[in-house]
Amino acid sequence: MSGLLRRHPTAIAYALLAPGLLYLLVFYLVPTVQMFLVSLWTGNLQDGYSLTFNFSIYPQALSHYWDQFVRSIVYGGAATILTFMLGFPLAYFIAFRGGRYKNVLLFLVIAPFFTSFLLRTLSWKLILADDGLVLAPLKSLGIVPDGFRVLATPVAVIAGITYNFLPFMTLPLYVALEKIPPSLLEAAEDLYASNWQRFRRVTLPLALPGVIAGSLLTFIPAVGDYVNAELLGSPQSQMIGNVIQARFLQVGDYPTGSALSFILMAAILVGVLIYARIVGTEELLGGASA
Amino acid sequence: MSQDHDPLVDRITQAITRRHLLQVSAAAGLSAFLAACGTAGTKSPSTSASAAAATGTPSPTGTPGATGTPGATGTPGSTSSGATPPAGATGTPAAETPAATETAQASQPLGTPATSGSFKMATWIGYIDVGTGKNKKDHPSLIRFTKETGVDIDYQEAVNDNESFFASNLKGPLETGQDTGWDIVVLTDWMIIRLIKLGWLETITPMGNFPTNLLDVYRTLEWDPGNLFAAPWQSGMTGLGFDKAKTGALTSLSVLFDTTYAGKLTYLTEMRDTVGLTALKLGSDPTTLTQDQFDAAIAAITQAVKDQIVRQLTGNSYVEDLLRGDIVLAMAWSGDIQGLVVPEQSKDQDFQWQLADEGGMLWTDNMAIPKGAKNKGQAETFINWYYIAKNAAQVEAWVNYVCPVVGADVEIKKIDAALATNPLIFPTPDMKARLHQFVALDTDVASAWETAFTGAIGQ
Amino acid sequence: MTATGVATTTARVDVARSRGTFFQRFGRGMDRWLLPIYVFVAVAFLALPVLVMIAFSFNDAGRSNVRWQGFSLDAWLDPLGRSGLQAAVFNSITIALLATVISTILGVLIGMALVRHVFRGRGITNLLIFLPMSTPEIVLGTSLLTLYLNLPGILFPLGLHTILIAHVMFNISYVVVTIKARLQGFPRHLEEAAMDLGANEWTTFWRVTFPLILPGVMAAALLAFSLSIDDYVVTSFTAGQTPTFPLFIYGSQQRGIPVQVNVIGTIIFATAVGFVLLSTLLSRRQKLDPVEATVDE
Repeated sequence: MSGLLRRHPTAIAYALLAPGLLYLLVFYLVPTVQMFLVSLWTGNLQDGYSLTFNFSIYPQALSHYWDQFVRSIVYGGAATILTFMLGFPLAYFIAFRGGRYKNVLLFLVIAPFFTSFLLRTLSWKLILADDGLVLAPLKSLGIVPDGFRVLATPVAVIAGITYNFLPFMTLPLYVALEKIPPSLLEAAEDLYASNWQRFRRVTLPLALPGVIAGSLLTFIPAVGDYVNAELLGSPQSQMIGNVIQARFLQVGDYPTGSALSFILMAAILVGVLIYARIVGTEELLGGASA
Repeated sequence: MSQDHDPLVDRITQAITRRHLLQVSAAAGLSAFLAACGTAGTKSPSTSASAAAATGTPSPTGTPGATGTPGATGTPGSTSSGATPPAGATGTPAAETPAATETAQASQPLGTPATSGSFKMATWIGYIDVGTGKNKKDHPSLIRFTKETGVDIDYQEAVNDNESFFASNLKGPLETGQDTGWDIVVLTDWMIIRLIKLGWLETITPMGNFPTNLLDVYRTLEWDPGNLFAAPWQSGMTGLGFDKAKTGALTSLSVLFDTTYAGKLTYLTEMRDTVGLTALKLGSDPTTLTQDQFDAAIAAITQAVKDQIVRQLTGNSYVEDLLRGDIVLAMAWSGDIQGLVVPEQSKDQDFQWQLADEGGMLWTDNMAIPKGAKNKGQAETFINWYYIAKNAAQVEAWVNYVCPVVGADVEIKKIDAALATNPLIFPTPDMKARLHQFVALDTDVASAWETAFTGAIGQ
Repeated sequence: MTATGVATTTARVDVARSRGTFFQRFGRGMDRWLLPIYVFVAVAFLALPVLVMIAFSFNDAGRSNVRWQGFSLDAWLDPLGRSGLQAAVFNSITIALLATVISTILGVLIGMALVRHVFRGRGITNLLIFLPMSTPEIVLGTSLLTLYLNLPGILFPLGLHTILIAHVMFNISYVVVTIKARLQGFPRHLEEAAMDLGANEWTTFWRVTFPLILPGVMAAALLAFSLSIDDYVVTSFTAGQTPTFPLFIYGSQQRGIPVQVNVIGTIIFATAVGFVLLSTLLSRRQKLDPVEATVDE
């Protein structure tokens, strides 16, 4: 056995890979195929479903829930841009100015996310309540009008997503920025580059892998998120995740839920695969390793 | 997925013909309820007599399980007196059915209450009394139940709305013939009808108090003749819950649809409540709601969502939203405001519940035993125990809903005389005239309407 | 190396101060004052909800923990004192532990193959590992649910086992990625030396390889555990009526969140923070070890 493995080093590799990959095959790929099949069912919860290859559900579901799809992409995109604008200065400071407090700062950025996702979001509901911690003083000072509210608006949903996914952006950015040798920035300065030029021409391009990894890690879960919309939003800010969740867990309409879920996955995968083609699969994993 | 039932289920479902279930239930149920609601309120002398007789019979102490002598409670003597129609029953307009009820009952031997073991019950919040002060997390009536019967109860407030509870807790296991883990579930009439139709409920073996002590009005339900499957827990009304300190007194449903409180009000995720109230506002009768009237109601809801009048659609969580001050007005269930919101309101809040001028919805939440429940005997023991007037009254004095147990009105006076005139527990004739049950729906229509409703609320 | 880097940068900034346009001075001002202030505000912003959560674990609340009603230690003295909470916490911990062990083993094996071996099918392997991470959680949950629905009697009705399967699935990729990052630059020569000295593969693995990758394995396991114990979305689709702590929070959010939930949330938070601090401390101490030291440089 040992001799065999020594003579065939690839055999070791496959032996190491087999259990895990098999697992992913059975519990990631097979369910995906299954979900596709379920989307082609017709019937109802009480009388049962049967597979009828009802492909028309796709155009139907897409047109019926077009608003929620668009909203998800808009909210997800807005949150991604916001996490970048908030996360970049943070990552920049920690990478270049952190000094010996680098690890402490990094820890302070990550630590809040050891709290339950739901509890964090519910805390925001408390903080942002119409007569809560933030708005009550502002209202009594007359800074915002009496009827003003944050909760149950798209702003609250986007803010919630931004908050919850901020580390997914900040950490890859930090990793990328940290790799930039300070000598390069010094060189730029020696060449009389202004701060802006230095940032634009040196820092940003070198941080690009982090930007891309961070954007993916934020955008993908953000588009599929429904907890923020559910807890902080209104019926007017429901995302596609809310629809899928309601179809599956409240109505028991598995075909429509599956079709919507499949469309969401396909849309995202197409994007990712195009990206994988451009940067290569190793890079994809490397970038995500933050 | 196959819908094959086992032979027993088929036998039971055949006993109740499908047509009966679908067509007659709502109309019959409503008229019967409204007619016989009087039993609780206006005819208290006669019902109290029957209550006294009924509670006295099964066991002298009024605590069937506690005697520990199963023989005593199961004696033929108690059977015959248990089956005696309550004194008030013959006087009610809808009295044709007691005969059927008795036949059904007579065909079943009385069960024996359990004296040990435990069972698990899924219900809604605000449906049980709570202790005071240090014991504010206890439920005194449940503690007494365990003391008297020896049966432990795992009481879980696990139901937030009927459809999600059905989809997440019942459908999966029952479809594959497995135990759901729940021994009693408390669900609304229309969901119980669905479960009966699917053959997913156990029959409740009578133990002397149930259905003997069930108010007549509930004995004439077309969808459960003989009260084999559902033991009513509470009936309630859907109306306006509001912070009077912010809104002043409200009496009309139109505030739910105009911009006065835009963004500061919620609807319910229960389609029958929200569509029902909307239909009433539009002048239609939910009891006989037609497709056109339903469509009009959906259009009104869609518009209210679009105009951002509705902040959210909620299950029981409107209670928290009211307390937090995020909303000042909600479609609310009658007992919740008094039982859950008022005790926690701050100094500048003054919560009220009001049945609107246009009317309100009437519904009943029932205890039922899911098919294959492991602790059926213990569950039945609890149902039997609850149907003793004194025990129901203890729960009622706290929850502020309409009680289905004969004689509870007399018992409740012993706790607090003022409660006997509480319109939430004993609706006035004027209120009864304004209450409506939602039309019974065929499976296809029900799912089409649910879909239209979820569409209107953004999902 | 980092410290000197910062020092040089600061020196450069000082030298550069004497010259520059308004914009450059503005930029430097931003760099000097605005950025630190921003970081301070941002860290406070990140911490705020956690502080609120901790504060409200001491609230003397009744059914609804939505308004401050006075200080009380009641909930802390009885952290599991709500019906259903104990079972939910117990399930969460059980699932997280099992999922961590299984996914760490599977993930470490894949990670070692990817870093140390050359084999065909590398691209497809990388892709299969990347896919679950780039699939929204709701899709992972729904697709697994459809699989379970179609296997009645085997994986349906849902329960602890179906949650566990799901958690292992989404954990594997994160473990692989973490391990891979830590294994890069792995000192192969140490293994070769061991083999040259006559150790067989098994001995080499346990005596040389394993101690070297242990910090990476620990980091991966920690990540897997925290992903699993906090997961709500995938769990909500795969749990049926098995309660977990996040499912309990969500359920009680609709019915009134008991103060105990904040207590448990605070305990989990404190434990995770404690673990991270501990492992940082340990890895710092390990650097005194000569082998580790050489590996690091």
